[in-house]
Amino acid sequence: MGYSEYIIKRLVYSFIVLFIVVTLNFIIFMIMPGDPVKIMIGRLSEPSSIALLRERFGLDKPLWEQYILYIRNMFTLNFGFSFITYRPVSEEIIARLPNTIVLLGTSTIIAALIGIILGVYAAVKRGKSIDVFVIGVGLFVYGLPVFWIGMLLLFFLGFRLGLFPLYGSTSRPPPTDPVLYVADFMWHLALPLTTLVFILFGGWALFTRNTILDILTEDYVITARAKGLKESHVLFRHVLRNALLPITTRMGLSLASIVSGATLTETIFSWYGIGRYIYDAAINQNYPALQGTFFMIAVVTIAANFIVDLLYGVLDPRVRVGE
Amino acid sequence: MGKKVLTVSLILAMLLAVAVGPQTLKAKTQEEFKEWKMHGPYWDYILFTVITEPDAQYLALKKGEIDQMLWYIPTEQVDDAMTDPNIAVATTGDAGYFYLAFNFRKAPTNDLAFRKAIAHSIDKERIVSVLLKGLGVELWSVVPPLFYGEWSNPDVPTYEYDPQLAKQILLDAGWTYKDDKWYMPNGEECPPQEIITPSYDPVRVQAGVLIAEAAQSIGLPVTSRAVEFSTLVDLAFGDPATGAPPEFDMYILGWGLGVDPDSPYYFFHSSQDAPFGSNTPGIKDPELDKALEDMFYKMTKEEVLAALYKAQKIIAEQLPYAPLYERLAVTGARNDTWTGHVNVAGSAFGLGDEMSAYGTKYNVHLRVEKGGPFGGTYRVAMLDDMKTQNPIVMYPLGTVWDAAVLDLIYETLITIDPTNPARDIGVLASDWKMEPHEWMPGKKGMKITFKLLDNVTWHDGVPFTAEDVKFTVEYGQKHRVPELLPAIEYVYKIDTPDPYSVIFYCNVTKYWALHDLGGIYIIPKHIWKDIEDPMVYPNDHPIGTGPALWVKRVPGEYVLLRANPTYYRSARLARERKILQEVTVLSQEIETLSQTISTMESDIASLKDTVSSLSSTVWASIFIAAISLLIGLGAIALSRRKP
Repeated sequence: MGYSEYIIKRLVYSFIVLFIVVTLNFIIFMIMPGDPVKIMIGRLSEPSSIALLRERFGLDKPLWEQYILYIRNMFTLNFGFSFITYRPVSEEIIARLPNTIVLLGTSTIIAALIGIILGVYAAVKRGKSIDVFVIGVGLFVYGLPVFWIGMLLLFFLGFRLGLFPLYGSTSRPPPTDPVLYVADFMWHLALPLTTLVFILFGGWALFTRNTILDILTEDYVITARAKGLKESHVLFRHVLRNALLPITTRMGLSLASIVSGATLTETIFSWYGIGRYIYDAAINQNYPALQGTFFMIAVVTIAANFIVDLLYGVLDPRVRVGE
Repeated sequence: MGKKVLTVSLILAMLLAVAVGPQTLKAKTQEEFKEWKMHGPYWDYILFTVITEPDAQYLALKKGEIDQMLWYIPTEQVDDAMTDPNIAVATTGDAGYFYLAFNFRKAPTNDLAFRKAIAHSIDKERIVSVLLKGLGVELWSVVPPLFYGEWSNPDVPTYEYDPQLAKQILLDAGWTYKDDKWYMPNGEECPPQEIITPSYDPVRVQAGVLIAEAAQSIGLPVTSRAVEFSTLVDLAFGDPATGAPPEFDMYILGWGLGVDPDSPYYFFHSSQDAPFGSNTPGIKDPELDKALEDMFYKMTKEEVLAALYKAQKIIAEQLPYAPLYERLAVTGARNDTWTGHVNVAGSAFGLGDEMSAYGTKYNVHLRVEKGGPFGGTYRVAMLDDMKTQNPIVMYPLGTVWDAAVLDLIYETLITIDPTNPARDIGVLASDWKMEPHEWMPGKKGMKITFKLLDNVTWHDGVPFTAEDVKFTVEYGQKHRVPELLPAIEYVYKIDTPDPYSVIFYCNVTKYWALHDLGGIYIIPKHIWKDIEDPMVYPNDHPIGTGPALWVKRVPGEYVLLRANPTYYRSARLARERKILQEVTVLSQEIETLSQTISTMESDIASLKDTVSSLSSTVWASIFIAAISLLIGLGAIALSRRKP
């Protein structure tokens, strides 16, 4: 099987998965308990008001008709109007997306870099105090509640020391000078970013350490060492290259989380992002908003997997020839 | 002339000093905050900033980064706030209450004796003191007194916590207790009973456990179960979509209520025991129905109050609900920089509803030592971003935060006194009247006449008239706006006999119609007449008649408003008018004084002339006298000379 054939096959698979996910996305919300219209307008509402809203949002139509309409809308990127604001869902998602991508993207990259470096170092120094330290810290931060870390940073660095702002992604109102605006944004980004890096790097460190340790016991590594190659050569040319496969997979999966937001972190730091949007939508059974965001997450996840598959083909030729 | 200018300037300066001096800014104790006026605002700008975490809001308040929280102070921070001299803390009744509901459709909850026995198993004191940490009050009526004031009947029956009395009530009603089991009067064993509670609220979950344990202590087979909120709603209300009926024994939930205490009609009238209805207990009591109908459809406040008192009494006797507690709202504001906070009934410091605009946000002003009372940016924290800028869909979509902002942009005809919920006050209307009217021969209806203020303009300078009011109601009817429709659909004709009078002809009689119609945000006809679909209109730059002008909103971050310089109730204009009046009076006095001085000057001049003429006369007389004397002396001398 050639590389192009491999790509086409992965592409077809991706579309099939997307279609299944989109269909599930519809079914899940239809079978959820509760009535979004009742939640929207409260219990004291007149039946006439409820009927009017049902009509407006197309909830009075038969289920199959709603499904066809939904599929058509999803694939034309028309996510409809939010039940909560009557504003287009696509507009609401786009307004929040940059903040989320910056926060989650930056924190994922920094956490991954720190985690990978620590993981490699710990694996190389296996059994020594640095290894124990990395494992201990990794497990500790990995298990910490993000809410607690966030509040702690907010209290000490934001309130007590006054080094960082307590809320928002910019000052209110923000500076008008573009350079100052960027500086202001970075200043506001510091605490939520630190919180997420703190929470995420432990997982990366443990994962990388375990992956490297597995590879270090492989025959080809022993052979390389037996040939008298330098330890750095073995590490960079033989171990790390092979460790790239699982690390790339994990990085690909992390890409999806970059657009799905971080509900708790966003809430603590009043960060206007997708995570809180999803949370609010779930609480209020705001189907269009949930369907829109889930569709976006599904597309990014599938796209990330597709890219990872392509990279696999590059990193490991066995994959593309089906061995 | 120069002296006159100087004098007037000095007087002006003195008046200014009086206007901003300590006389008008007397110190207040924390219990007060009730002094308010229909003039405002004093600030230059008001900034609504989104802080989505209550603890972060409180830290920002402590640090002085915001001036007021539009949410409750977290319970664990209340003591700290109380002791902080820079933070003013206000408590008031929450706009709602919490209750235990009984299902009248099945045994044994359809038995009054059983309901009374459970009512005597509720330790409200413990719920309030332990579970609510004192931030609540025990409740006996379904019209909570802290929020509704005089609408709440203080003489409803109460049920003290006494499980042994509960046992005795059951025995007296023909129940029997044998082998640790209760048997109902018909001889059947009492089936297991369950109190369902919402899992997200630990207070209600624990309250359910406490009640169940007390009932178990006298042998009743009562348990408590916490379930997810939407599951509980489906169990309590049934699902009209699938036709599923309510399915519960007892449940604990709460209601958030509006400013009118008419909710008992929806909760307990027999007509509401239907799909989409809210009579979840399924009570059908003709006497109660009559009282609720009178409360809902009578035209005068006295009739409505009497009917509401009667309904509350019957409900407390029949116990479809056992009211549990009314929560206390505790909120805070900085008082080192700002003062003039108003503790609004149901929403301390104006948590956001129809009343808030006339509470704190209207009256709050900079302290004198901070350069007040005028100027500054008042910074208010909101827990969430605005859902809509569109006043037409404020209900049902809006939240307290939308109301907090939109209340400063749009206005209603009347509103409620922030410190007395039973009293109406005019906003855009100066006077109003309800009269009986036959809408068809023999069919009772009513007409409501509003006299409007004649000095109001929209933010874009267009005059506000009765046509705007008429348009708003007709527009809502034409576009069938959900939630607005029930408040206006009974209006079948609107007359505007002159630009500042509007008459609504209604095909019902209903005291609350005054609030229905008087409480709608009035929108400008010249802007909205061309809007085809009001429900999705973004209204990017709201234009109203209110005290604030729209400046900017950054979604998820903040909303900035500016004081309306031409507002008809502007505190600045009122002060300037007052000063102008004083200056006019003083100028007139100075003018009179000047005239008097001029008159005196001319008098002095004439006096001088007189004196001058007098002095010439005197000199002439002296000269003549001297001459005469000399002549006389000469004559004497000549007469003595001997010939």
